[in-house]
Amino acid sequence: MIAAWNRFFHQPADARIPAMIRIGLASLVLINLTAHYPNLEKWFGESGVLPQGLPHLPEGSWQWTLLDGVPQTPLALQVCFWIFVLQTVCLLLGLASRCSAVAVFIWIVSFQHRNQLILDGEDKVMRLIAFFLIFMPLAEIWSVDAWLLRRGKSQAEPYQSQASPWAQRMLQYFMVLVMFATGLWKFAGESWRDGTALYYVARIDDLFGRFWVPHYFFDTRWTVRAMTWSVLYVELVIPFLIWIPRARRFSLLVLLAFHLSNEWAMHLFLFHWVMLCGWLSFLKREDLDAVARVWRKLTGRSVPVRLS
Amino acid sequence: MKPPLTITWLQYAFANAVVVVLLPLLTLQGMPPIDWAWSWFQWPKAAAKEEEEEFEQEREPNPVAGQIYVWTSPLLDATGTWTGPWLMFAPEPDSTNHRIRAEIEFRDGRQVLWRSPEWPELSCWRRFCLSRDLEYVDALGGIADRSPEKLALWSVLADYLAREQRTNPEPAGAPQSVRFIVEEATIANPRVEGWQPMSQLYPRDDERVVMTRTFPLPPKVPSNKTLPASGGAP
Repeated sequence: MIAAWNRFFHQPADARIPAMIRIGLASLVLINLTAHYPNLEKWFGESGVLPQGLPHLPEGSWQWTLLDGVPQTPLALQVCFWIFVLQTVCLLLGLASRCSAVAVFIWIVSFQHRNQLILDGEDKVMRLIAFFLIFMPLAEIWSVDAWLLRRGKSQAEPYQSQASPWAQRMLQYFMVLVMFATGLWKFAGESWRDGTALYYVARIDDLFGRFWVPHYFFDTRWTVRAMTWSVLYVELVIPFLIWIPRARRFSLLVLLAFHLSNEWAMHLFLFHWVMLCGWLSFLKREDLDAVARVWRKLTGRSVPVRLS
Repeated sequence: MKPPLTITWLQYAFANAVVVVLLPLLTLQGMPPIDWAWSWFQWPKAAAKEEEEEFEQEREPNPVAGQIYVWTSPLLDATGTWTGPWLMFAPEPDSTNHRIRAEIEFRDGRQVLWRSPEWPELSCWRRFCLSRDLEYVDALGGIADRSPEKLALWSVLADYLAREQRTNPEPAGAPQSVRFIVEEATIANPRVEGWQPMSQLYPRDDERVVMTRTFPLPPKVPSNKTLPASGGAP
C-alpha cells in the first residue's frame, strides 16, 4: 500500500507536463488580466461597483485580499495590477519559477476576493491550478531557470523530472472531482434526467450562440435528449475511465471534443481553456512523443525528443 | 513510510500531509451531500405519494456535511483553496433571460436611459470582453431577489451609473434619482408548453422596478467653487 502510494504520488514523471501547465496557466492569466484592464477601476476600485465600504468578503470568513492593505487610490490599483502582470510574465518565462508561482497565486486570490460578484467557475479552477502549480517542479525544462542552471551542460534525459509529481497528481484528482461533482449535481436535476436541460441552455441568450450551430439539433426532441445525456455521460463516466491506462487517451480525446464543442457554441470566457489546461496533467511521456512524431511527419522538421 | 530517493523527508511529509488534508476537503466542498445527490433513487416512490414541488422542499442540506464545512472553511478560506459546490448549469439550468434598465434623472432635468448589454446583438469579441459584465448582471439577480445584500449592491450601482453619466459638474447637474427595472423572459417548460423553435424570441414581458435610489440635495458650495467633475453621487 505504501509502495503504491509512493508510486502514485512521488514517482518522478515527465518534466514537460508541469512546464506545459505553467505556460498554459500563465497565458490564460495574462488573457484574463488583459480583459480586466479596461474596467480595472470599475470592478476593483473605490469608485467602482464594489467600494470598500460594502462588504466584499463573506461575513465571518477568513478570506483575505492584498488590495485591502494598499491605499484605495487608482494609482495603487494600477501598481498592484502591473506587478501581477510582471510576475505572470515571469511565470510564463519560467524566471524565478517557484517565487513567481507563489506571487501569481497570491494575486489571483487577492483580485478574486476583492470582487466575487464577477467570478465564475473558471476563476475557481484557475485559482486551484495556480495553487497546485506552486508545488510542481517548474524549473526543470522550458524555462529561463532551467537555461541558467544547465548552461554549457548536456543531459542524457532532458525530459525526465527529478522531483516528486504529487502536486500534478493532486491536480489530476481535482480535475476529475470538478467533472464528477458537477455531473452528480446535474443528475439531481429533473431536466438533466429527462433530457431537456440543453433545450434551456440553448435558449439562454447571454451564454449560448457563440458561433453557428444547426438549430435542428436543439429543436428536435431526440437530439436534445442525446446531447443532454451525453453531457452526463462525459461528466459521470470519464472521471473513472481516465484512470484506466487503456482508456486514458480515449478519455482525453472525449474531453477535448467536449470542451472545444462547448467553446464553439457558448460564451463562457476562458472556462474551457482553463479546464483543458488542467487536463494537461493527465498527459504522459508517450503522448508527447507521439505528438512530436506526428509533427515531424507533417512538417519534416526534427523535434528533439526521446522516442523510447 | 519510506520516502522515494528523489524527495527529502521534510518534503515527503509536507506533500503527504497536504494530500491527506486537502483531497477530502476539496471533495467535501465540491460534491453534493450524499443524501441529496442520490435522492433521485427515491423519486418514483416519493412521486407516487406527493407532488413534485413538495418533494423538492423536503431536500435539506446534510447537517453533518454542513458542520464539517463550518469547521474546515477557515483553513480553505485562508489558503485560498475554497471552491464551493461545482454547480455548472446544475441542478437545473437557468430558465430565464434578463436585462437591467436604469432610468437616471439629474437635477437639471436631464434624463438618461442605461441598459445592460443586449447580448445577442454583440459581436463575439465584444461578448468576450464583456464577460465580467455578464457575471455581474447575473450576480445582481433577477426580479425575485430583493435581499438586503442585493439592495445594497443595486444602491452602489446607482451611485456608479450616476457618476458615469453625469455631464454637468455644477450642483444643478447632480443626480436626483436612479430607478432600476429588471426585464425578464421565461423559457417555457417544453413538457408543458411544447417544444418551441430555437429561433423564437422570448419577449421580456415581465418587468418590475427592483429599486429606486434617490439622492439628497448636494451641499451648497460657495459661488466661486464647483463640485469635481467626476463626483455627483453622495
